[in-house]
Amino acid sequence: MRILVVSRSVVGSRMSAPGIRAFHMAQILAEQVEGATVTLAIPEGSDLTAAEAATFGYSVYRYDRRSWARLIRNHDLLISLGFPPMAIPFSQRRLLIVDLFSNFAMEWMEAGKSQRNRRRRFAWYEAQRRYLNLQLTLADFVICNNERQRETWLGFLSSLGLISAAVYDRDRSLRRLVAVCPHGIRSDPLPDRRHSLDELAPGIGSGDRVLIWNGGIIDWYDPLTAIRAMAVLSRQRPEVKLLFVGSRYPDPGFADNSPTFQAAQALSRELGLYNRTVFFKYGWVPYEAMKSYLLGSCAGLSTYYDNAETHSSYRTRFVDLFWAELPLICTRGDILAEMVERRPLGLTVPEKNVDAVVAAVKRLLDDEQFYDRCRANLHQLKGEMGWEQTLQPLVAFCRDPRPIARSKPERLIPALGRAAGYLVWRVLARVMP
Amino acid sequence: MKRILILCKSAVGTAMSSPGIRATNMARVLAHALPESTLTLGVDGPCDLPPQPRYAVRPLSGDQVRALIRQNDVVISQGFPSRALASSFGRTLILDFFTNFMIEGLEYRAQRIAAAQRESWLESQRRYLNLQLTLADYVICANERQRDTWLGMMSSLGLITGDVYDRDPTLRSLVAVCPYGVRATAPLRRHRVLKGVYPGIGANDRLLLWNGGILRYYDPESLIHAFRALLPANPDLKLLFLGNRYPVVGFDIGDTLGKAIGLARALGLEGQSIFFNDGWLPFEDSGDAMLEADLGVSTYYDTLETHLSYRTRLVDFIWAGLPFVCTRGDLIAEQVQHEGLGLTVTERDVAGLTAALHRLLNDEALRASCRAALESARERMTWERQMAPLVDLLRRNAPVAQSKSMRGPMALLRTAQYLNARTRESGQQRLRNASFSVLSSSRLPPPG
Repeated sequence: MRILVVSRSVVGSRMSAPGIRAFHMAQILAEQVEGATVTLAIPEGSDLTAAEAATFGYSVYRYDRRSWARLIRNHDLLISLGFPPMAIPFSQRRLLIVDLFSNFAMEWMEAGKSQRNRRRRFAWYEAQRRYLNLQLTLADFVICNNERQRETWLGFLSSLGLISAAVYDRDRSLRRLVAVCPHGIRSDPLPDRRHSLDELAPGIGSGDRVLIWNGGIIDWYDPLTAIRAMAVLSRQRPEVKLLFVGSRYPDPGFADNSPTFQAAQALSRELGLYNRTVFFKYGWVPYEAMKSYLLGSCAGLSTYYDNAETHSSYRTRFVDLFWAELPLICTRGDILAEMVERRPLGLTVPEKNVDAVVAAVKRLLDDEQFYDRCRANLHQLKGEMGWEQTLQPLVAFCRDPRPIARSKPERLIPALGRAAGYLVWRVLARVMP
Repeated sequence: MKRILILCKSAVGTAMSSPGIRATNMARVLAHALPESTLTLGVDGPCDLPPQPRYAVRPLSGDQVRALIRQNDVVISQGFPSRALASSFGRTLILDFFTNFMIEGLEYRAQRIAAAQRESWLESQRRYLNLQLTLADYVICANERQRDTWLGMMSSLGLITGDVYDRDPTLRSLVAVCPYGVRATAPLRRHRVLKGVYPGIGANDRLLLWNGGILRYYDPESLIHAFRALLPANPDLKLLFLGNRYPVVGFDIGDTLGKAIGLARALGLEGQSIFFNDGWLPFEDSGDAMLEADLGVSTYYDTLETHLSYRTRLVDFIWAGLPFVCTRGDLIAEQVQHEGLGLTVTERDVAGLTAALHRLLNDEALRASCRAALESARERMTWERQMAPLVDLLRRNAPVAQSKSMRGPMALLRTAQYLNARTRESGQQRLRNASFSVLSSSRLPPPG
């Protein structure tokens, strides 16, 4: 069987979460699905070489928008975040797995806020919604990042008429239609030595205790609450610093300086914290280099809003903290924050609450017993959340690919209709005055 | 001043199943919390509820439902009657979708309906759900998982636009969670209803209680096998299945009950130590029954239906403070694990179930800690607290859903799609009936 994993995001030395996910997926499938040849399709800008890929047991293919027909014809099973409408005629005898690792319907709500023109925003969102409806219609199997996303996709599927009685009877749990494959923890061992950050981030002293914000400052995060908390802490605990690492995304199309990012900088200057208590590491920090920053910090900090986007999100930046066994402080609302609270792996705070962040930082840094307990729990968690464990539902499907979804002929007409709707709204979103 | 109508789709009064219990408690809580409003409970089914001081009770038969809807400003509906669709115009519509009707429907209709008919039934259900969600100004449901599926359906249907999201980025004012609750006070021991009263159950026996109907998607079989394994070590143990009939008219419960009775009979236990209560226990007596029982139990399968469900029979155990054993898979089972309300088991695991039942029957320390945890769970789960988000929505009266005019064209399209699907469904039904009569008149065996 010829398996193709399509990454919609760059793969190589600079990777964000979707690229990391595809990278591990290709590797695990190559290792665990006997008799399969695995290819990883990577977009422009990726620097993963064929030789590197060969050491992981798969090959690479550089694709662009014109390659789809060839890609589909040359493979039996394809895994991607999405397939273009022109894939429909070529994919009738192929298995399509759609990897919906985020609740895009909600993410786009946040992303669309930057669009000032209301009508254009509406049309753009209509196009995106129809794109999702199309992907779910094409999918023979859907994977996602957590249970809440799974419930959302089941809702989509049922309103689209894709869960028939026959589908339900084939598997009454519907786990063979929509499965959860969370973002895993990288497998490389944790070095014994803790790094010192003074070389990486000038201004931070060797005796400082650093809170790390690892990941982009995206518009729907709330760095301002964290910075205000640092203003309080700087008077009481001058050794506590906050370091923002990775201010932009490696993929073209992501703005270098989002409004939230600029607001974060402006506020830290205004409060006199800039480069004294609050530090920014500009530009994208590669996957490998992020390790040193993580290992030099003593806890993670991430604040955002308790909204519908957060509710179904899966914050992959937390998974990097898990790898580094760094206890973390995060806002409540998402499923990982629930885990942080329950195990515990750190502390959670209500949204927009500066005092709660201050109290949480003090508790985490002062209560050594609690801190050590969180670290021990994180160490244990790593044994359960490696990619080889989290991708098991996908591996099982690829080993025995018998989809339970409605048959391809039953889905063809709805798929064509939804593709047409998508294309129309995509055009409207561009020409809307 | 607002006129609020609650539409209940099943019986209300002495024999109530969960929709009836939910609707009456909702009426009670809303009448108390919104004294400036008038409240009416419309009942589509048998009703022997005595007159209530704070709200009116009306039957929903025939044309009455349309008139009733027109007399009110807000309609809270467990499933809007399709014959009254036109009268919903201009009213605030709140859907009380406390269960996933499609998945539940797939379960209870699975056995007795021909495959093609089941698909067309499902298709018209789907179209009708899509239409109702398009008409809704608010949706309430029973747990977070249901909420995520309703939000998924609404996203897919284009009902969550940027404007909706901007008005409330949590979307809690569009789809709120109002779980099934418990009465504020624990049941009072009034009189004996089972031990020493029910034929075959002695006053000093220990009693294992199954409190609810045996619907298709339940698993009494594993329980009966586990019970047999328990008997040698616990000879004074009895198992009672309450509620073999279901008080919803026309509700097809499948043949799981028949099979369970058959199994108990084959093992020689039926009428000796396993009892099937024929008929539905009066609502008034269910508290006494749970107080007399030593342990509650409920077993089912770990299906999608279970995953999304909020089993009211388990909530009843919490109300009565009765420790219980249940199958894992739903959110209450998670609560049982986290809060220590009882024990949970894997589906179909007879050995695991036997061990769990034995432990919870005989480990006094564990029973005491479960009872303490149940007590605190009950205080958190009163109807007043569970309905608070609904009260809040009604008080604020600021729907975040898309404006009615924006939804108009979508509603028209979806009405047409629904009518089309329903015509096909009833066409198929007629065809089946016709072929059945032809076949039976020619003395051939009936189909299916």
